[in-house]
Amino acid sequence: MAKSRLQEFFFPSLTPKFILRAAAVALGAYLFFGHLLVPMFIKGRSMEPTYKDGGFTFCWTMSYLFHQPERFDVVAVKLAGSKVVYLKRVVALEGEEVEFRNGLLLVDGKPLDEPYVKYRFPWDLPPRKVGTGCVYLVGDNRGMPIEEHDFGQAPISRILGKPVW
Amino acid sequence: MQPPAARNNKRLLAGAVLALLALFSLYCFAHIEEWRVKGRFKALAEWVDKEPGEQPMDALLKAAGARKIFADPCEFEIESYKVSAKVSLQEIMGYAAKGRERFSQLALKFYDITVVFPQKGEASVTATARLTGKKAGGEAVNETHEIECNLKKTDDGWRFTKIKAVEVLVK
Repeated sequence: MAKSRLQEFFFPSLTPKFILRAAAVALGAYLFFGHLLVPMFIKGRSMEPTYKDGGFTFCWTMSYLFHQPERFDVVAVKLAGSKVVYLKRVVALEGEEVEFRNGLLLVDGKPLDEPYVKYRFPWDLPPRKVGTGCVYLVGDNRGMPIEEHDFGQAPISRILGKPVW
Repeated sequence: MQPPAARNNKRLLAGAVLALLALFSLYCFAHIEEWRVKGRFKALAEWVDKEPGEQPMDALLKAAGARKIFADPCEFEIESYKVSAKVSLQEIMGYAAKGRERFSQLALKFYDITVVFPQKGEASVTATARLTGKKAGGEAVNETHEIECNLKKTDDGWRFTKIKAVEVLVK
């Protein structure tokens, strides 16, 4: 007796055509979610309140295919690979001078308006120039001593992409 | 008795299975040293791991396990902590025993491990190390670093000769 459409949908016959189709879907999903739209679980508080510890997002790896990262972009930065990444905000670009004075971020000597920063510790960091091919990255959560926060300049080549939300 | 076509099919199938097995064996043979080196990272993670309520004797035993992981001496380079030194096995065991007391819980995990063999008996590895846990005072520990390691092959297996933390974000 022929199977109903519903039965065929939930319990398909293992025909060569079905196996081929399932394999193509699995390969497509692996390529898409493994390399283009990479799922990211957020662990840590360095981007609070924008991204909360325990949150989830996707990283679109094609974001910077045709243009360079811009100021205020939130980006994912690769470490040894792409399984664990830093999530930080671009605050200064190549050739600019960055400085923290009493918790205030100055770029080329002018204070940067950062509405996304809700917690501020009185960080102090002498001025430094962002190197060639690099951007300066800082987390949004400045409510901790400067030594406990990972931030600084990184080569643009280390940027994996941009979170989609 | 089976028809000749069925016999041929069985022979073909058996041949294909044998060829696959041979390929799989070759693959395993080619990667066996890489797996052994990766196994050292698993051993290092187990050596660092600490469960709450660890007894002092267990801590000492764990610290003594350093001889199965590190070469004598082993070089450590962690710029963000201003550490750059060659440390003897005895010193590593001492630091490990003291260091464990400062934490009530520790877990070390490695990701994205890439192994290359610059020459026979030597391995260079890059990986991401993630250390999580709690200090004795209750504060959370959450450190992530890219690391570069060198290992050398001894009669007792692979041993770490250098561990360097790479500064991905340079302040």
